Amino acid sequence: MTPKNTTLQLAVSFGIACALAALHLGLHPDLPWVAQEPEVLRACELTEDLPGPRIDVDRIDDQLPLLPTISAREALELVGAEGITFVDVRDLGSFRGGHIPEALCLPAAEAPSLLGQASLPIAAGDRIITYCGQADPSDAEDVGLLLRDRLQCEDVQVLRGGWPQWLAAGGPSTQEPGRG
Amino acid sequence: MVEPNAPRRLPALIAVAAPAARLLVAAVFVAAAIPKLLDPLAFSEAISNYRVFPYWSWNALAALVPMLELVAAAMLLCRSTRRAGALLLGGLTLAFIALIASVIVRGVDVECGCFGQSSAPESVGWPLLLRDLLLLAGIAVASLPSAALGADAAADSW
Repeated sequence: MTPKNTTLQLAVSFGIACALAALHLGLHPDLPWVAQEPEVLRACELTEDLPGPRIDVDRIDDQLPLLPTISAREALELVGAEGITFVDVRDLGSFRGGHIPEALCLPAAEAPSLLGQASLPIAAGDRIITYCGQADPSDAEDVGLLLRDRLQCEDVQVLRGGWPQWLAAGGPSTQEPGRG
Repeated sequence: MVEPNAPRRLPALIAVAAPAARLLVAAVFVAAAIPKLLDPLAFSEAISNYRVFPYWSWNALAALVPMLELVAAAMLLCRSTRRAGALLLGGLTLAFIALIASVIVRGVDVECGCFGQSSAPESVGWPLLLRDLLLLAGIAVASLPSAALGADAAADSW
């Protein structure tokens, strides 16, 4: 076996694997080769000067996950269920572009001030699932921590992979007004 | 006096170990690939949890990696493509080892996803790193031609 033959075999086998993978993904229309790109990737950042408990984002990144997470597949089964609140922490423009049905719009930048109001349609006993516009869940975790600490919501989870993974999993998207 | 071109005779144990290693390594990779292919979404999520790859690559990797595992495992069992199969599996395993090492260094707690969602959850850590190093050693043994180890031609058909 010459090195040239081995290289050729490696190239051919890689090509075969790519073709089979394409065929395999073709059988899963809900799983496209390239996941849909969210409209805004970096829309939400917490403002550090706002009142409330300070969250050390660096510490969050080092010690993830601070909140339990839920996969898109598991979360799909909870859409429309009683006592479930999806919280979209992206900015309003991204939310209007498409969001999980019945989700509550709570942009991360405004979350600390909005949480000071009593009008948020979240009951203390609700199960809350937060999600952001990027795979990095730090913004969703920040808001989840605020919800847990300020509203005494015990059952707060973060959607793994955020909005991109939700779309990749075939999750429904709506442009209708959400809960807030 | 030893003739210069006399075939080198290695212990019979090693001659048996090469085909056994091929079967074992191929079985491990096939067992790892099938659950991933049956549930690509779960594997895509597992890939995303590593926080290494960009989001647009998750689905493609979720389909490509198990296919590479299957193709390479089949190549390892075929004498004419054994070397390329071993190289492919070795490359995959090295990539897995690098990924595991990065998770250990970053201190992130993620599930392996190595055998899909069908297996019990397994956190990425030192035991997994050790297992992959052993797998790499197994691939090295599996890549050895049986004939060169002193076995007969029939044994080399494995």
